[in-house]
Parts: sequence; C-alpha cells; structure tokens
Amino acid sequence: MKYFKPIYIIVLVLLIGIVAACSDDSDADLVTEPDLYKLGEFTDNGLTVAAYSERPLEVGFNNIWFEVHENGEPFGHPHIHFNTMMHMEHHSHTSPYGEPGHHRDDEHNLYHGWAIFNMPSGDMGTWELDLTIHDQDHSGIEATGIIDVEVEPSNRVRTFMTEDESRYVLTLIEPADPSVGMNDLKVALHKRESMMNFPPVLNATMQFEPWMPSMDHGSSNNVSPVHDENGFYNGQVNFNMTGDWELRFDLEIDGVEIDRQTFEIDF
Amino acid sequence: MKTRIILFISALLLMPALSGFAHQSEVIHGVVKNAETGEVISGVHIQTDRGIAGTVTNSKGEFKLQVRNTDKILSVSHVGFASIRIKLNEKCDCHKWLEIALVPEQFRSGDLLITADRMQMQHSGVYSSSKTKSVEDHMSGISGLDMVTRANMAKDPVIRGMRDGRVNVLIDGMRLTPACVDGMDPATAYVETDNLQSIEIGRGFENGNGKQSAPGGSVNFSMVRPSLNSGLKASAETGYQSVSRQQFYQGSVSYGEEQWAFRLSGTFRDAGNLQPGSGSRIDGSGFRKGNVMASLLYQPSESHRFNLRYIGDFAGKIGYPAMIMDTRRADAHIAGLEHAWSNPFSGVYSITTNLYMNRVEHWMDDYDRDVTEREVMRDMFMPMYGETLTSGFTSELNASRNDHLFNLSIEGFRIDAFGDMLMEHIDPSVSDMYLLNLGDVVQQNLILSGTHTWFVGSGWTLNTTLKGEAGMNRLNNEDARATYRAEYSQDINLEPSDFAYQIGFTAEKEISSRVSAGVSLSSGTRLPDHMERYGYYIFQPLDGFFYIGNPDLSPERSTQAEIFTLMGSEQSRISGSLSAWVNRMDNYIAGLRTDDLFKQMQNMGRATLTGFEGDLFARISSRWIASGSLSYVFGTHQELDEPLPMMPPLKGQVSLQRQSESVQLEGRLRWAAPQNRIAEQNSMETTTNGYALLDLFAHVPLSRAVSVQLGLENMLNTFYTEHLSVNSMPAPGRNVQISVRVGI
Repeated sequence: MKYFKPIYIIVLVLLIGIVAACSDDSDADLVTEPDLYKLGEFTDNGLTVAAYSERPLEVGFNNIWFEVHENGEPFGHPHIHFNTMMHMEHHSHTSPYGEPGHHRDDEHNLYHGWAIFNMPSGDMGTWELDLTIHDQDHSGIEATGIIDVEVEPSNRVRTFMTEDESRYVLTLIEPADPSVGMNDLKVALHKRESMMNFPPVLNATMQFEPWMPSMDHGSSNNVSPVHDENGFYNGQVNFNMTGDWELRFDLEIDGVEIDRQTFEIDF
Repeated sequence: MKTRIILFISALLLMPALSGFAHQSEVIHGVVKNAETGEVISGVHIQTDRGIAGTVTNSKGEFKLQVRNTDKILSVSHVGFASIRIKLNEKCDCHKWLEIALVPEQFRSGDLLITADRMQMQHSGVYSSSKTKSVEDHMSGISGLDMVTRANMAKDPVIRGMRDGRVNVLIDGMRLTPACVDGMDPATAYVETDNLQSIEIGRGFENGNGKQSAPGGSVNFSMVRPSLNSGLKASAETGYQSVSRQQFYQGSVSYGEEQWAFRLSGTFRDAGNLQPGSGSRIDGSGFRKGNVMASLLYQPSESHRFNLRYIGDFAGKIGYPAMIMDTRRADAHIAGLEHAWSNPFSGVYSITTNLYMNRVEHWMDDYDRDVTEREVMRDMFMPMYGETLTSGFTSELNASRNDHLFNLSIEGFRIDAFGDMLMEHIDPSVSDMYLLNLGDVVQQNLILSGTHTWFVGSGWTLNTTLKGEAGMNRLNNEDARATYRAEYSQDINLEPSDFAYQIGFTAEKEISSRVSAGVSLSSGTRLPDHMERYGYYIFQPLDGFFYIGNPDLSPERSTQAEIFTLMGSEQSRISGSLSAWVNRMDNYIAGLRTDDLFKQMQNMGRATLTGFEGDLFARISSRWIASGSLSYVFGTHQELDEPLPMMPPLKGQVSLQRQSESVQLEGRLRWAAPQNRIAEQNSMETTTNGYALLDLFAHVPLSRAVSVQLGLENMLNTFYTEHLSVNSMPAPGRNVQISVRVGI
C-alpha cells in the first residue's frame, strides 16, 4: 500500500497532464506537410508561411509552392506577393519570377508560383524569397518575412547582351528529364530592364536545332519554340539517341539577331 | 558389275511403266534418286532421244516431261553419275509416278551442283567437287547472278540487279535473317560448300516451281543429306590459297544403314590479308571461321523420311578493310526438321514439311582502327551488336491428274530482330552515346501459294501461279517506338499489317525438235522487310549513307515480262538458252537522300530494270567441252531520272574444259565491261573499269581415294575492281590454289 501514497498520485496526475498538454501542443503543429522539398518558413503576425519546391533549388526555372497557416489551420484567402532577391557584396538584384494565383492548385492544393534563378548561391551572394501576405478578404491581417534559400548551379540559364546593351535571360525549362524520342521544349525569355525588373519578352522569334557535337549530326522534325504566354515559348525537340546534345537557339528580338545561345544536355 | 545390275533393274522396272507411251503424246513425271543411297538428285537432265523434249529435276529430284509418240528413248544424265537410257515402249504407263535410279561415278562424286532456271547446262567446272572453294566462287559462273563484295568472304547475291529483300536467300527452304544491321553477314556467310548438295538459283519471279519467289529471284542452298545404305565413309580435304594465304581444312564422316544415316562434318578457314592484282596486301582483310554440320536421316518406311540437321557457323575476326569496322565475332545456329511423305494419297505424290529455327548473333567494332584519322564518326569507337531469331515452317504438296500438275504450299515464319550501337568517344569526358538500330522488331508472315502446270498438247505447256502473303509487324522497344514517333508523327502506325500477292503466267512451246520458246508474265507485290520498316541509323556501306526506316511504307509492285528460248540439251553438241526480260517496279522502295549523311526509306515512284542472260554450251568432242555466258542489266530510276545504283555491267565468261577420268582441265576467261552508268543524285556511286581475267583449273584423281585440285586464278595478276564491290575494294590478284582430298 505504501506505493499509493498521495505524493505518487499527484506526480502521476501531473505526468498525465504534461503528456496531455504536449499532445495538445502537437495538435496545434499538426500541419500536413506536402510531399515536396521544404525550402523554409517564417511566422509573422500569427501567420506561418512555408515554401516548397520539387527538389533543391537550382539555377534556372523552379516551381515554388506556398502554404499559409493561421494557428495551425489553413489561412482563408491569402494574397501572396513574393520576389527573389540576391544579396551580393555591393548590390542586390532580383530575377524573373511569377507570383502565385489566388487559388490553390489542383496538384498539391498549395499556392503555386515560380522563380528563375540566374546564378547559384555561394561566395558571390545569397538568395532569399521576400514574401508579403495579406488577406484577400481585407481583414487587415498581413505578414512579411524572408526565407533564405540555397540555389545549386546548373547550365539552364544563359544571360546575354545585345549590341544596344540590352540584357536578356534565356532559360531552358523543358525537357527537364530528357528521353529518347520527341520531347516538349520550353524556354523562357526575359529582359533585364533593371536590377529589379525582368519583364517577359513576348515578340522574339527563335530558330532551334539540337546537335550532337561528338557525332556531328542533329535530328529531324524539331519544332522551334514560339511564344505561348508571358515570355514562355513552346516547341519540340527530338533526341534520336542518348548522349551529349547541344540545344542551339538562334534568336531575333525586335529585329536584332542574337548570337547563338546553346544549352548542353547529357543523358 | 553392281552398276550394270542397277542400271538393268532400273530400266527393267521402267519398261512396263513406259510401255504404253508410244501411241500418243503423254506427260510423264517422277523422281530421280541416287541408286546407292536412295537420295533424291536435283539438276538431273531428262531428255527424249531426239532432243525434242527435255527438263531438269527440281530440288526434290522431281521432274515432269511431255513426250511424243515418236520418242523411243529417254535419256537421263547428271554430273557425277553414269547416264542411262530408258526405252519407251508400248507398255508405258505414263501416268505412273516414275522412280529412276542413277549410279554415282567415282571420279566426279561429291560435286556441288549449281542449277538455274532455264539453263540447259548445270555449271560443272572441274573444281565442282572441291570444298576448298567458297560458296560464292561456285556460284560466280551463273549468268544474271552477281555478288556484292564487302570483304574477302561472304558475298551477297544480286540477281538481275536486285538484292537484299528483293532476293530470297534460303537454306533448304528455311529463311535465315542476317543479324548485322550494316549487312556484313549475308546468309552466304553462314554456309560452307561442305554443307551443300546443290545451289538452286531462280531469276526473277519464278512461275510454277513452288519456290517462294521474290521480284529479284531466289537462291536456295540445298543441304547435303547423309546417304542410306552407305556404310561408313569419311573424307578429308586440306588446301591453300596464295592470294590470301588461306589455309583450309575440311573433314566429314558418315554412316548409313537401311533405315537411318548420319553425317558429321566440319570446316575451318584461316585467311590472311588479301593480295590485289598489284601493290601490297590489304591490311586487315583476313578472317577466321569454323563450321560444323550434323545431319540425321531416318526413313522408317518407303513413304516417310525424316531429316534433322544442324549447322553451326562460328567466325572470329573478319576484316572489312573497305569499311570502318570489323566483325569481332559472328555465330549462327541453323536447325531444321524435315519430313518427306511420298505418295500419301491417290494423285498426291509428295508432301514435304519443314520446321526450323535459326539464330544469328553478330558483334562488330572498330577497336583495331585508328578512329582519329577517319572522316566518318571521328574519335569514336562504335561497337555494335545484332541478333536475329528466325523460326517458321513450310509445307508443300505436289499432285498430278492426267496432264495437270499441281503444287500447293504454305509457309509461315517469324523474325525477331534486335540491333544496337554504343558510341564511345576517345575523350573519356564525353559521355557514351547509345543508339537502337532495331528495337525488338517482330515480323510475322503467312504465305499461301499454288501453281498449276498444264501440258496442253501440241508442244504447249501452260503454267499459272498464284500467291498471297499476309505480314504483320511490331516494334516492341519503347525507346524505339518513341524514336519513330519523333521521326514521323505521334500517330504513326508502328504495327502495320499488309497483304501482298503474286500472279504469274508462263506459256512454253516446242518450236522444233531442238528449240523451244516461251513467254512469262508476272505481277506481284513485295512487303517491306523489317530493316526497311524499322532499321534506324543503318549505315549502308554501299553508298555511305545512314538509313532511317519507314513503318509506313507501302508494298512494292513488280511487273515482269520475259521471253526465253531453249536450244538442245546437255547431250546435244550445242545447247543454250537466252532470256530477255523487263521488270517495272512501282512504289519502288529506296532511301531518299535527306542531306549529306542520311537517307529515309520511301516509296520512290517507278524504276525499270531490263536485261538479258545467255548461255551456250558446245560439246566439241567426247572430251572437250566449251561454254560461255553473257548477261547485262540496265536499270533506271524514273523518279530521279538517273541510273539505279549498283547495277552490274555487261559481263560474261567463256571456258574450255577437258573431261577425263585421269586429268581434267579447264581454262576460263572472265570479263566485264566498264560501268559508267552510275547514280549520282541520290547516291555517290563511282564508275569502274572493265577487266578480263584468265583462270586455269585442274582436277587430278591420283587414285579412287585421293585427288588433287589445282587452280591458277587471275593468271596475269590483273588489278581490277568489281562494280558491286563496296567502297571499291580491290578484287583478288593472282591466286594459286591447291587442295588434296582423301576419301575412304
């Protein structure tokens, strides 16, 4: 009977209470994480904002998804503004990006945006996502914050300057996972009007040719990209074997021919 | 004495069979067999005494012949056998199936027989019994037949200017699909002279002989069969050819009893670099290969015979100096089971069924080449692999009723083919490239054909042929399917099914006692083969282009007309044949040049080929025989308004032969005219010069068991290039050859 002294009963009740309290706290954090790579999150003004991508970010085009929670519950109708920002030693700059729409996407039930990173993270500087969220219902709730991100290098972005010193960013988006046969070809073209403004180029014409330099031949039935919307151009590329390929683009922007831009793919 | 007894018995047996013949014109038909072994003999000449009517037995030893009531004697002759003469008397039962037995002559036994349709004489050079000479060498004397030369072995037959899918190359009726996508291993690469009893060549659509004919023609390699009642036999032959320092070894052993027989043989060749007519030897032109053959014959009764046979052919490195790669290894396994059923039903005298399966694997690479110096695919090693599995069956029924002969056949076959290539850059930082040349291709065909021969009377023979063929094709590899969808369209049908047909009619008339003439008309379609449909980036050494197949090809139509005349027979002092023909090809399948490197298979309008073949044979005396042949093909591609590529020039040969039981001699002159009609728009063909070559052969039987073969080819060491030589690879220069054969 000595084991049933009141002190023990009190300790037991406290322990049960602690466990129960912990369980309640866990319930508050029980946000169902999407099956995506989490870039980071911040909490401001009661809103928790998280960013996700399909894989670690890399130079080039990246899909980015956002989720906003308030007290562990999905926030009603957030309006998400974001931009990319690279902080370098003496200056900062952004890059092309696309803000999410007002509705969740069908694939992940998240808010989908995109960003094109034109250089990797490293000694030259660091990337971040600058976010501002407010309520579309004008409740007055607003949150701002920064998510620091790492961007891996890749060869999917070409930046070039024309004779009139206009600067452009050409990004290879598809094929992301090339295979033998016909592949969708998608590129994006943006003009760097300033360090903080990269509007899409809507009127470029592109001649496209895939080439296998080690074999010294190309392939047939390729479709040069044409503008679809918002600076994105769609075409098709035929890989008739695996190996090292060059995707060669000859661009003309506002009647000015641009030096050939080449992406290398190896699969 | 034994010979005379068999002759006497044969004649005695035939007399009543032929006795009722004298009073009317009748058709006789039957089979000719080896009196010692009971095996059928193809290429046997059967002729009436005045030379009015004559014919040659087919690959199954069968013949049909219309004789007149004035004919008294039937003459039956064949190289390597004693000729016999059979009296035709009033007791002849002409509708009976005749069996004629010929007794082998010892001094010419073992000859390889080459027969061609409408040739009065079989090619029977004094070297015919030599196993040392390659299959191609034995075939080279047939007019209208040319060979594509890629290396110092394995030449590809070209008949009347057509090759590849337009010529059926069969081994005992079995199909064999080469595995090298670049065409380095034609079917001739996998058979040795030792494997063969005879080679039957058909030129153009062949009406009425029961063969699965193609627009160009067919080559059927009939395999040698073990002999019943032969007891134990063995032979060995070794030889040497100076032009490529080739050593040759061959041996065989066979045993035959009354109901079964077995034969096992092997051949090995080891050749060094080839010596052309002038200059130095061509580096990297040697080869080494071995061949084994086993054949088991079982005849449980007079009506049934089973023959199980296997050929294994194994080649080591084969040098292709005119091309950018060499064969590293090539293996072929050829197996078949044949059942021959004699006189199964009333009016049906034979049903022959064959089941077979052939597998070929082929490896090639350029590891022994300096890839840094070449123009094509520089700095790249390109090992290639190909494999094919061909399986199928054939069944053929022969029947007769009065003056009518019928042949019905059914054939089904399936080809499974795969080919790929790895490209390895000499710079290790460059990734390997991988290309599917044939992505698990399946081709299945079913063929039904029938022929009807009617001996109308008054010297007329009419023949009608009908054939229908259904083909189904599949491309199974997903990457290959994606490749073809990208090449053509996403909606392209990668499982095309097609139907082909052939209809033919031949009329032949005896004009006089020594001359007959006829006309043959044929029209038919050919289904595209698996390479034409699905071959991807196939390098064609003939013109240096990479070919891309086309699953959407339509069948190619061929309309042929031929007039021919035959004169005399082998027994006549003078005999010969002459054929003139024209072949109009519509929906002609060829590679359309898309740039400086590539061609795409397309139906390319109309092409026309026309030509002639002539053969003349003169028996100067009982010992001296002279012969000559001449052939020409003129091909034009109307769509491109230029000559068809790879057309053989005017060519011919004459020979003088001394026959004897002691020393047989033969002198031969081979010649070809220059070929200046070349395709320059769609191909990059080059002209070739004419040439004339002198050869001398001798066959010396030292005893009944030992004989020596001697040869001196290209005596003047002339430098020349065959027009059908790939990349103008020079032909062999002076060649001294010697072989010794011992038989027990």
